[in-house]
Amino acid sequence: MPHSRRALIKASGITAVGLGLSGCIGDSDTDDGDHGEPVEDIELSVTTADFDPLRHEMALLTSAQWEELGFTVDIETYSLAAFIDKILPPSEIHAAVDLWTGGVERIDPHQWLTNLYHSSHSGGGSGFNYTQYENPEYDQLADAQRATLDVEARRELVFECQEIIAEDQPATIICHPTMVMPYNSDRWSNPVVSVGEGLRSFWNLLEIEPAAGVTEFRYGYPADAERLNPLEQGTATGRRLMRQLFDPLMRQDAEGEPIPWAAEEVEIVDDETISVTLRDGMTFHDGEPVTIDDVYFSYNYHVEHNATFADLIEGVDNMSIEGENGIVFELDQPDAVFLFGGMTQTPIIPQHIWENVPDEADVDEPIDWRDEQARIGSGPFKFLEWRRGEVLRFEAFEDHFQPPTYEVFSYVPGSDTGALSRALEQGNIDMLARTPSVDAIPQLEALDHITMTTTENTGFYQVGYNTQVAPFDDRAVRRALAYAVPKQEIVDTLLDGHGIVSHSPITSALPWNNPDVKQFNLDLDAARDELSNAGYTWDDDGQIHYPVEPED
Amino acid sequence: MSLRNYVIRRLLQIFVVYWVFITILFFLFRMVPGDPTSMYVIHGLSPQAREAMIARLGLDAPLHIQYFTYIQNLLTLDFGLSFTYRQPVSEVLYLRFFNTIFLMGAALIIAYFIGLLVGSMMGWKRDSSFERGGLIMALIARSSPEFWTGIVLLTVFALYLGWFPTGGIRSLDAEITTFWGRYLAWDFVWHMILPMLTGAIYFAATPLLLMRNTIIDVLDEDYIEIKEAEGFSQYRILYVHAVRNSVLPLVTIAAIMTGAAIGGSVVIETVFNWPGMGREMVRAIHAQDYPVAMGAFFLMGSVVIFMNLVADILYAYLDPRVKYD
Repeated sequence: MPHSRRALIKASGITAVGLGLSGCIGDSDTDDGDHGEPVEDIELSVTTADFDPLRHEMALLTSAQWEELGFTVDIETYSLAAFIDKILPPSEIHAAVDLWTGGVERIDPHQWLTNLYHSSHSGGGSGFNYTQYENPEYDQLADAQRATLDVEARRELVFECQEIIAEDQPATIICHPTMVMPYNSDRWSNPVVSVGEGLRSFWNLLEIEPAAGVTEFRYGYPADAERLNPLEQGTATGRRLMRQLFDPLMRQDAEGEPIPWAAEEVEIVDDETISVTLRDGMTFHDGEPVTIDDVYFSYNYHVEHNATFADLIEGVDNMSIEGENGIVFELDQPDAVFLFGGMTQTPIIPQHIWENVPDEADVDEPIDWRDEQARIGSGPFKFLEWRRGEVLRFEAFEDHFQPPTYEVFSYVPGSDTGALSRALEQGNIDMLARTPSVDAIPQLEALDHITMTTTENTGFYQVGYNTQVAPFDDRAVRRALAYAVPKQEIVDTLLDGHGIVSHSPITSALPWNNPDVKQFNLDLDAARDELSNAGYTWDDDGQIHYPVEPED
Repeated sequence: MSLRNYVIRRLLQIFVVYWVFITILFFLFRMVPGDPTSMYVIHGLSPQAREAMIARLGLDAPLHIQYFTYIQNLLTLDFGLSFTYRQPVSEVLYLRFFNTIFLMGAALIIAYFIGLLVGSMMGWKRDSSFERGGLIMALIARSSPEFWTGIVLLTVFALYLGWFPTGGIRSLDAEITTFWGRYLAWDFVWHMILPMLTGAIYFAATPLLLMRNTIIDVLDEDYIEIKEAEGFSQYRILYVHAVRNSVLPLVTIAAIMTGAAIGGSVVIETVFNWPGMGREMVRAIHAQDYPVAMGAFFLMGSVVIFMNLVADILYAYLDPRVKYD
């Protein structure tokens, strides 16, 4: 009589939570035989409240709802490093609340669709698919979208991928937080924000307009740069700095669409052949011209010396130089990731410098080379000085085809966003490249010389489930749990409204987002329906039980 | 035993202390789950790149091999390369260490100065409203967390009055040519005043209360009464004759307080965005940058070990009754 039981639970929902919390559930074998085994306790892993109070609160709010469904939830907290270690495949977790940080390089839908949910990224100690979700149909679609260069056709496939993961719920996407970044509007105007980047976008650093007499743009960020080496792009911080010093063949514009940059023209000859013409008249910061040989050298060098993003260009089978300024890339298979990721994230480095590294440099691996020469690129900024922990300075490279609108760029590392917010308030920095804490936002907003910008993020919060472990191996359970994640409450109370409830890992700010996927909003009745339709039952204490195994 | 032999024996002990200290540090950090590449994973490090990185950092070797390599390098004062910066640890820590030492050193000196003057005065004026007021102030200062004191000072003197900067160690456009040029500059002092004050307020209570207690004991001694009978002025008796005999406990806790100040500097450094060693140490631990974390602990431990040695030797000088055996 599952239906009457459910009605009982509904009526006494609060009691059920109370019982669940007191932990007297789990050994209830008292019943009359129409229950299966009790569902075991769920471990919900999350980073410590100290590291990120938001994620920890999300876990608390979510577990309260899950308990209401009759599950017993234990929240396990870990330091960030331990958490990452724990969730990386082969994953040991049951379920986890986590945040995937965005960025311009994560605009391409491949990033989330493949890295997080493709079976080739689960198990065997490789990849980020800690849900260990394995679905051949999904894999096929995810592979197909990567091999489709036509944008419309690719979008269709990307939409289908999102539909499948929305139905199967290997993870419940909670929301995409909005980026709220303040800047000093007495000194600067017309900032250029871009999706997933906000004020720290490449274009903002290039095009924000100074007031009369202002020559230095002081950019505050709560971490120091680690090292400045174009091969080393392990952290987003370093990546954002290196892209100002070096030019790739293509860049993503403020909307995230790839456009030719150091390339004059990019022509897709056929699915596996891409022909590029290099822009004329570019020079490196040391005055040497940028030639097509430098391009050829850079693509080889990145793969040969294990640059951070070498995997994006490993699919290049053959390169050939054509004429004065042309290069043709032949791929071993059609690959949208090479076109939109590889070409936008591989910096052109000067051959006359790097051909002697590591042989004549005092270093084993080029990626560790710290000499100032490693910072010579052709980008719109050139390296000026670095006082670690205090300030890192670039100056405008006037010979660039698009020089910045001001003279000096200063990167000011701070201990946290609190210290930087105070510096912004006093006028010691010009912008904050991260969203300040929720309570600091209204304080900054109230200041006359500060203006806030808001931008949609490509990163998101999710609850991931280990789909290889009971009870999460049952799709019905995952869907029921998804109905019990209080997404709207999380955005309203924890993020103070600075976020958008999501149902897909791809932000609604991007044309890749499928707005018509199955939506799971807080609905405990729907959750119970999912469970009882799959045969789950509840005992008198409200504890949930597995379906009764059919007798042989 | 002579003072010379004593010093030699103490120095030998220090070697053993260091060895135990280093060994514990080495294994402690490596017992923490995760490894230095974990932090890069959330930024999109691919599995291949991650393995390449582990090999490059030498973390694929067995733990005991890593340990012997580390000890060997340490004997030549080579602390290794930072995993994060790929820069020698000594370079990473050198300036940050002095940034912390100057800040906390100044804070401690001021704390001791206040503690000694006011504490002895409180002991002298026993049961007066000065003493009671002082006690209350000391307890308030001692129990206010540093970050709170720091934020209050910042709100009043930096954001409201605008007298001091909100943080940092010097102006962004400061010109630096020499080592001493970094610290012997008004710009540096101007940036240091609020964080130094925060530290001084927090630390002053300990020497102050200690001084008050010992002065109360000393003032009961016969020789003070004799000095009074001789007609010396109150201040002369207090600061020349009584204080001199009350400073021994202060010397003992100086070593402990220095350790606490250097280790506890992270809070002040965070509030005031001071590029010191405390913050770097915390960063290194979070990022599992073992060489930097160990280097920082090594320096911090060294300061404590050194200060203890100084305190022990100073004892002999200050109090000839102390015997070494």
